[in-house]
Amino acid sequence: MKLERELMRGAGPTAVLKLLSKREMYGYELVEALSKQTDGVLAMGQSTLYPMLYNLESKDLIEANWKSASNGRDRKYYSLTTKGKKKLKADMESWAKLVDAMSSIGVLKGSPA
Amino acid sequence: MSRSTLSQVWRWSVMTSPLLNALKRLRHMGYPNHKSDALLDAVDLPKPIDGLIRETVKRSKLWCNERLEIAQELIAHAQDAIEAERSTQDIVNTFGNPKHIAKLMRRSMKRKRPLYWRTYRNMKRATGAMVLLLIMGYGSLAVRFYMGKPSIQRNYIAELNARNDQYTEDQKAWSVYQDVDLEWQRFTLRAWESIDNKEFSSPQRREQAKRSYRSSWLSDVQGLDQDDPKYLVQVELFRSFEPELDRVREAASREIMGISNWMNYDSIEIEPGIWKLKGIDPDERSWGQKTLVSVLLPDLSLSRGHVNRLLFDAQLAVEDQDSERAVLDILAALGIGRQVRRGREFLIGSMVAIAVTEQSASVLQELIADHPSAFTRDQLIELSHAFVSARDNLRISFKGYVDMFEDILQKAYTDDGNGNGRLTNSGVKMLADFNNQFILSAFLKEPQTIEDYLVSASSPAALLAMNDRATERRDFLRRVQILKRGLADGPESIGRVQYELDLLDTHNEPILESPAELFAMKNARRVEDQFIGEMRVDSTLTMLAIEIFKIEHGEYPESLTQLVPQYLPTVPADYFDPGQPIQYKLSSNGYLLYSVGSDGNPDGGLEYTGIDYRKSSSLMRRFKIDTVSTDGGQQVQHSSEGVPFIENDGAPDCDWILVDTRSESDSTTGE
Repeated sequence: MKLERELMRGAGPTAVLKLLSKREMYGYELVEALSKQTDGVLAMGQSTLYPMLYNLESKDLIEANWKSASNGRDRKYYSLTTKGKKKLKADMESWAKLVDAMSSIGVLKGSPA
Repeated sequence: MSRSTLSQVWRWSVMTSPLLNALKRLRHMGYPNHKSDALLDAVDLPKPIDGLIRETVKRSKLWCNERLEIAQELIAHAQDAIEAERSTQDIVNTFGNPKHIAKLMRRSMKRKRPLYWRTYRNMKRATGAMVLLLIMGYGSLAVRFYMGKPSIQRNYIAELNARNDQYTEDQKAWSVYQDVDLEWQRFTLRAWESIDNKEFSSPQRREQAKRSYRSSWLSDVQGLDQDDPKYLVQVELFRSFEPELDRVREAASREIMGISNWMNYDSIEIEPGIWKLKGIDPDERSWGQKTLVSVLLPDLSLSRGHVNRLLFDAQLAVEDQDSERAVLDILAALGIGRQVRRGREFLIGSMVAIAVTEQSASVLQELIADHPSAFTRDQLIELSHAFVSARDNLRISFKGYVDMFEDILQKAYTDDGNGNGRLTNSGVKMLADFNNQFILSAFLKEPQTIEDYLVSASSPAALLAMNDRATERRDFLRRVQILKRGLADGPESIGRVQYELDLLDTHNEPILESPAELFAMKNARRVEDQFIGEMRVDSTLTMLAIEIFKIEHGEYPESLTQLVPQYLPTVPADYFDPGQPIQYKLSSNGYLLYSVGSDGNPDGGLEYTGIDYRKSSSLMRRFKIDTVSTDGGQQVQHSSEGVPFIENDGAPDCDWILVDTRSESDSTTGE
């Protein structure tokens, strides 16, 4: 199942920030992680991921560095900035409130109808 | 400094050299994908994936380095996918549409660009929006401008011509004046031929001398000494013109001038050296001249010519002891003044009428002074009556002046039905024509060059720069009202008139002057002309009364009050000395009539001998409002009673001599 475009637009950046909060990652790694860890719900292709990464970079939420990997190839690794960490914290709080709100009106499974 | 450091400095200087960077930029502009293509060439990706990346990079239309960054990122992503053992087809399927991804990449990459670039882009956008707004605004202005058409309600020229139609041909003088003018041309030609025995260096020189001789014949003869044999010869020649003067005298008694109103005249040579004026149909001329203001007035110059000849003949008549002819000449000159004023009631007509009347008065004064017993009592009475009537000649009429302006407004502006309207395209052309400036000539022709089109395209801007119709009329009529009020209030108001006119003067010098700026009167001199003319006529009437008194009593009156009421209804006022009559000074061999003059002080009849004769007879100098410069402009100085102070502006310390019958030895001169 894939999210609708508008939902993806809101959830995608927060998901990427969250993944990068654990460690720095390169593009393909992020695609794989989003696909596997979310069971395909937040899966996104290159056409979505890279523009999103550039946007986050332009807002100074993440930063990129080219590094040589163990196989000798260069990869661009993305990591969270201080500003990105603050943004992630704020986004997580917002999402928590959103989930609570949605639960309270019975949108989420197992919540009182 | 080590060799390696020198090498680094050299490399740095080469890398940062402006020439090299310019070449790099040129190369990037011509082939922006060269770096990314080289990178893709260096890696061995499956062809479909390689193609997708190349297309995406190419379609991104980013800077060269940005394309390289995208290429590196996508190559690394593809290599990671291949390493993860994903099939080429799977990678291609998840890549997405290159056009779409390129668009998203471009948008997000641009957000990463430096602040100066984003500022520059935003400025470009803002400027573009502003230019677009301006173009749209100017476009709507242009539509409004070109849609506006004048609404012509009155044909002022037809009205003028219709006024002529109310009279029969034998009540109109123009055809006689024109015929006599042709005869005068024949006369001067004969005069030239009678003396033409000179050698000229070229036919052109001969023609120039001939033209000059013919045009100034009368003034040249008048300038000769009366004992000069040449004078006597020329005067004899002039006497042959007497039958034509008779025709002029008769025509001067007719009701009106009766000239048709044409836009223009052509001079047609009806026989060698004889030119006749022929009116040109208004429709043959450009529309810019089809306004009342463009009506030419050849009758004015012709009339002046006839008056000059009549008054010269009056002098000859007195010398011939033919005072009856002299009276007829002066009456005819005054009659021409009357016809000129009543003709179209243009301001210039009023001015010519004043000048002709003043000239007649001056000549009569000189004749009486030089030949005290030339005229009989009855003739003096007849002349008195004529000059009383001629006072009407001096009244300035503003009717034709206002009509002229209204005609311009109706042909230059739209009409909203409530007296207002906006300037039209034809109005701009008309004003350009009136402004008569070379720079504006492009308005008047069909555009052919780019410059012409640019000038023509600027016409709608006139809507922003120029006043609307109501404002123009208000500005113009305000000045007319000031002048009319000045005439009604009397000579003392002339300083205030000039001051009020000055207040309305913006002192702007725009490229295209508006109708009011072009035609509104800015000087009170015309009002002064009427008052000075009145004093000249009043002094003539006083002189005539004195002469009649002398005939009846055998001596001159001791004072002017002796003339009232039998010879004069009242002693004429001295306009330069409010509340006081003109001065009379009797001496053993004549008398003097004078005004206190521009300085406002009586100086016992001291005559001004300077070159600028107006200095002693300028009401503008006498009653100039005293102003001081302040931050807000010119401020009028008031007395404690709130009356504006009057100052004498450089007036000479002398009187204005109106009539002097004394012999040379008894004359008193000053300055």
